[in-house]
Amino acid sequence: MSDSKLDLLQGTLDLMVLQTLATMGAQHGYGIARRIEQVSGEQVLLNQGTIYASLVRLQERGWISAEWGTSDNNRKAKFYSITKKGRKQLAEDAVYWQRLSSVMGRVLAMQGDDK
Amino acid sequence: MNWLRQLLQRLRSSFSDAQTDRELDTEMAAHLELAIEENMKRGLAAEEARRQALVRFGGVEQATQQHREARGFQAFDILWLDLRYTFRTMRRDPAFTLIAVLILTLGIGANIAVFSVVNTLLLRPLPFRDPQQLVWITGIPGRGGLSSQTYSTDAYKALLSQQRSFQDVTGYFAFSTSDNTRLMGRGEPLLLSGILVNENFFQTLGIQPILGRLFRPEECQKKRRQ
Repeated sequence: MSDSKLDLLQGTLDLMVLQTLATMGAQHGYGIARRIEQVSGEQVLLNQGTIYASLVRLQERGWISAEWGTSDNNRKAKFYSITKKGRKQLAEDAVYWQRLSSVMGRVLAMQGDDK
Repeated sequence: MNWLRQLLQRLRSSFSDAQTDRELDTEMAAHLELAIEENMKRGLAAEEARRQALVRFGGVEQATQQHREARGFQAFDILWLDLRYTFRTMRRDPAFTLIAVLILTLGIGANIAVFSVVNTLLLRPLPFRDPQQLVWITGIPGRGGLSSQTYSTDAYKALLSQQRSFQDVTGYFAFSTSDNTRLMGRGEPLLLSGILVNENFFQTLGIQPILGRLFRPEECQKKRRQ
């Protein structure tokens, strides 16, 4: 049970990272984590550290690339950006999640006649 | 191709793990500093800013572990670590190593010995025509050793004339050893295994001689020819 839960979270986090990079351009890990927290209205209580596993996973699949650079405040940081392949994957996954969430929404909105 | 690239990447990453770990450390340190800075901008004291940044990060050790798992650290490296640990232990404790090697040697040796016997006796078919139709008629093992498992000539003759289950019944002289005959001629004498058999022995087993011929009936009658 807890395993399947974790899998779902992993999948969603990867997608959130891809979307963030697609809209914001190159970003370091902290920036991505903060952005996800802000956009979700601080509803996702993300352990920010988990983002690095997601980032390396996406890198291994060739969906994002990484490069060392300097942050706004002159710190050495690794900057990630989405690849062409990543954008394609993002489009596919986004469609899937939208379909899934709309189906879930309809199923959960279902009401009995006798109510 | 995808799995190949992933495999290569995993192999490479398992060789450059220390390097990747160092990079991740740098990356996470930068992350925490950025977080602390932002917290301080929000008006927190340095100590509290640091504490909150660490809480939000959720454990550097766990993040490193997750990172390693995601990049395929586990399988290769744990195997490598295990192997190294094994060899270290073996070097430290030669007595144990000796016993372990001895037990393995004996075990493997015994297995090979048993298998070669089983293979010859049970698995490989006998080198005769229709080996599945061959039956070895033997007496009940009793106190007399091999003698109680053999048949006298009279018993054999009775068996031959009265049985209706077999195409033929033959026999051989059981009390013999291998290498009991010498072939003398030119050059070195050759040790051979000779055994006395009934006249129908070769026909029953379906063996044809490469050279010469089989026994003739008149050769097999008592006091006819030696």
